[in-house]
Amino acid sequence: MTRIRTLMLLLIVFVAAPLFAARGSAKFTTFVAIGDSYGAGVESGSLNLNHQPFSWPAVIARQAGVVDFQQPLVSFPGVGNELQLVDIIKFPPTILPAAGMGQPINLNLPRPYNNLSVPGATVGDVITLTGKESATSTARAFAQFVLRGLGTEVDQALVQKPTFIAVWIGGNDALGAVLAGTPAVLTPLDAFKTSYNSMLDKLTAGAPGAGMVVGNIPNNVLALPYLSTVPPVLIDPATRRPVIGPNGQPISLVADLGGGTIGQLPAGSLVLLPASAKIASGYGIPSTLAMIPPFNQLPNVGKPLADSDVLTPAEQAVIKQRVDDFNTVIQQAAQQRDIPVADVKGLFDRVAPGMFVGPIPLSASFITGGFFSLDGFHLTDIGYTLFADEFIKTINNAYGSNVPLAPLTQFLANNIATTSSGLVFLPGMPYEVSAEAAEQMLMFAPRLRRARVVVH
Amino acid sequence: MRPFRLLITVAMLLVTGAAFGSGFALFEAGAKAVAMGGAFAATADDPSAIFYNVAGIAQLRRTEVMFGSTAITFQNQFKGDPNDLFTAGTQGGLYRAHTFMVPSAYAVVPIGSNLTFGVGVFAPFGLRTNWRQPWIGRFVSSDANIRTVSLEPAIAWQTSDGRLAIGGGPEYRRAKVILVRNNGAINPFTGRFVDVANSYLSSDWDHAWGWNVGVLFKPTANWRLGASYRAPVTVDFNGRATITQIPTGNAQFDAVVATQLPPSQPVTTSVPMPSFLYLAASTTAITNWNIEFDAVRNDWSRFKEIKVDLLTTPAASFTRPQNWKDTWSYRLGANHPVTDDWDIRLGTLYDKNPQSPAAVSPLLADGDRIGVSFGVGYHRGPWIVDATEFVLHFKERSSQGQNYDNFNGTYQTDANLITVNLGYRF
Repeated sequence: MTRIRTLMLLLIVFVAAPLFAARGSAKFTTFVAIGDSYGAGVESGSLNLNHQPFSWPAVIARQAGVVDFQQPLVSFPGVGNELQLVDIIKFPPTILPAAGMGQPINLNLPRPYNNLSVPGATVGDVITLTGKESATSTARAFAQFVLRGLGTEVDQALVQKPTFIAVWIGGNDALGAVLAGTPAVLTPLDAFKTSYNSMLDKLTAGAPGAGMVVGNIPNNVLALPYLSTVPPVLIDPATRRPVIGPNGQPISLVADLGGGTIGQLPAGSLVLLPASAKIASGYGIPSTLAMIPPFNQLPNVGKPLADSDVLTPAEQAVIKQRVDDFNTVIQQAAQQRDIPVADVKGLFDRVAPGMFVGPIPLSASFITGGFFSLDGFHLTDIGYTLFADEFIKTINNAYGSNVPLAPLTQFLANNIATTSSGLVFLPGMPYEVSAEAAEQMLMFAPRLRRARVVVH
Repeated sequence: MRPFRLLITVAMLLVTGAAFGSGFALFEAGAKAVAMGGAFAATADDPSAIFYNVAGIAQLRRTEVMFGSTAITFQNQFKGDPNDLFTAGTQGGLYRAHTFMVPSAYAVVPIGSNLTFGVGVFAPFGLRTNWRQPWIGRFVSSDANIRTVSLEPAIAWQTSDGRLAIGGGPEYRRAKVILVRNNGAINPFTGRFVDVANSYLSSDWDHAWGWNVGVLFKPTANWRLGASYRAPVTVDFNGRATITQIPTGNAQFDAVVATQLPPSQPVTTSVPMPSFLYLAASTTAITNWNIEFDAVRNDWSRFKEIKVDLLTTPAASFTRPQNWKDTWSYRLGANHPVTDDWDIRLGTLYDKNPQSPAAVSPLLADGDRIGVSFGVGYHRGPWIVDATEFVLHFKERSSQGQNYDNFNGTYQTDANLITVNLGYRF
């Protein structure tokens, strides 16, 4: 009898004890989030209130029952006009930004926002930008109305005396290079390590009793539709299939392979989504095809794609290695402070080959994949919900809490009439991605041409 | 630049096959038998013995007819799996209220003093799971219905002292399957998952032949031993998949969907139905009580997979694993004459389910079943009336995150069965 009782007790102790000795506890009385455009809920090149409720911090807050979770809301069509799918019948499909101008809605909130995510922010930015800086970059422009000069993301998080802090930062330190087509703009590993540890030191010192969670960074560069959509070989617009060269192989596009070396793209190269408009005008098409229809109609045949239009396998390897190094830093920094790490990389790895969540098929395909939005690298409402669920699972595992997962059943439209909402579209040439949209995509967050207008 | 392809996978567009429970076997072939919890293969003393133990009709020395029906209603609930990214938090999900009617009819004609001929009509299998919309599992199954009806001419012979009887007969079984589900896709204009088509698979009434034998032995005046075996039957079906596009309200999206939906077309499939083996003993050692215990085996392991072949677009044909297990059910029943005209009956059963967690789905979420039955019999002159109330509780069943269709949760089911039959002895 006694033995059984002892066994039962042991069992209870084992079951009740969290598997991970996490710092603080999972109390969401005051929940704050530190992050970048993913945290802000940027979607299809825009920050607006149609999608901000699906930013990963907002999803966690909703699931955890946080009552007054404040975000810097912007009216539709948002900061960065939201890209809209206009035509999927034509080939290639047409995507254009919605017309109008978004306005901040709660700019005068008399306290810091709970969601302090600044689109474009790097790890260094979350401990330096305060919103007082002039808008010389995406992050600085957004900081003006997210941070409002009240202090850094970290400072404003701490001043709220948070009971729980969720952090996902570092994406821009790596993906900025992906979007720019060159590893040159990767954050150096040492700088990343210093900033990341400094950020966690400030947070743990300023909120010693708060529960925390951080997340790692996807390293699968191929998974972004921004990179996987445009093939590195010449496509016949009539058949939509690769043009086969005299050697029986598809014809590789021509590009600056780095340092002014012009050549055909090696196998495994990736072409960035915005380059599709250039290819459509002839860039990248070998000069040997200049006389052959239909390519003889294009003005720029024979001109190479720019280095920034492509990522060669060597460049991809550098980026992937750096992300792996970042993840080592994150893992170690978190472990030292008893902070659980959400496996965001794992989520992207599962999406890349295609997966089902219940009946919903998701993949990394552009437009149809359901996970990435129309800018090719921010997520959809569904994508951010799964992102948030990855955090919720990590929190529950580490703290033994029972925050309910956000289910994808909420995205069953149940056949309510669904239209593209009668929006008016800006006139523009029907590229697969409009020039303006492409320009917006050059940064990890939308460019803030109208930032100054909306900010005061 | 690839041509625009929606992520409607081919498999998604098609109904998966039937998957009911202990599946979808029925043993409601007579009110007296049901009242005894289905423990009737040793008693077998009314014309429904053609179903339970055909040797039993040798005991019937008067021409007799009997017909009746069982009305089955279900109450159920689905709860989402808290660890599932799709179903977490879902509470509710119910079958549409409806009543299944399971018919039976029998006639027996004794010839001389040892032989009895009989003919029976009964439904050895059948079930319907029809979910009330909007039902989040509609992409797996919104309505699944299998119906069978068997016609069995039977003959039985007993020794002149009545201590040993044997019987048998061929079984002609007709069956029909209907499977309905919706197909969905993410509408890229809205980022929402919308219903884009409905797949309605309906088979013809197809048939197959089986057979059935039984033996009944009375070693002493108080004891009976019975055994019967009903052979497995596989019905091969021809049918038609009717695929109807559901407009989403977005003309462009609908146009793309239309190009990717397979056409309505003929299909073939087959449903393996298991054998029944009854091993039964009954005793009248307690005065005025007949108590019977049966063990019943169904070789559900025959139900390995569902294979649906599409004849117009064979590439879209698919196979779905089921991998069910053989099951035993245990049945205990009693019949107690209260007066010359009235009998009361009690029964209980425990029925193991054949499904692995992966097979637990909206098509059928079977659980181990516990049943309790109560019935009365009235017989006066040539007339016999039997009525039974039977409640069946299914143990809560979870797909444990393993469902083949990636649809996970917990199912609770209760069934109520009322069986009535009327007989006449000439």
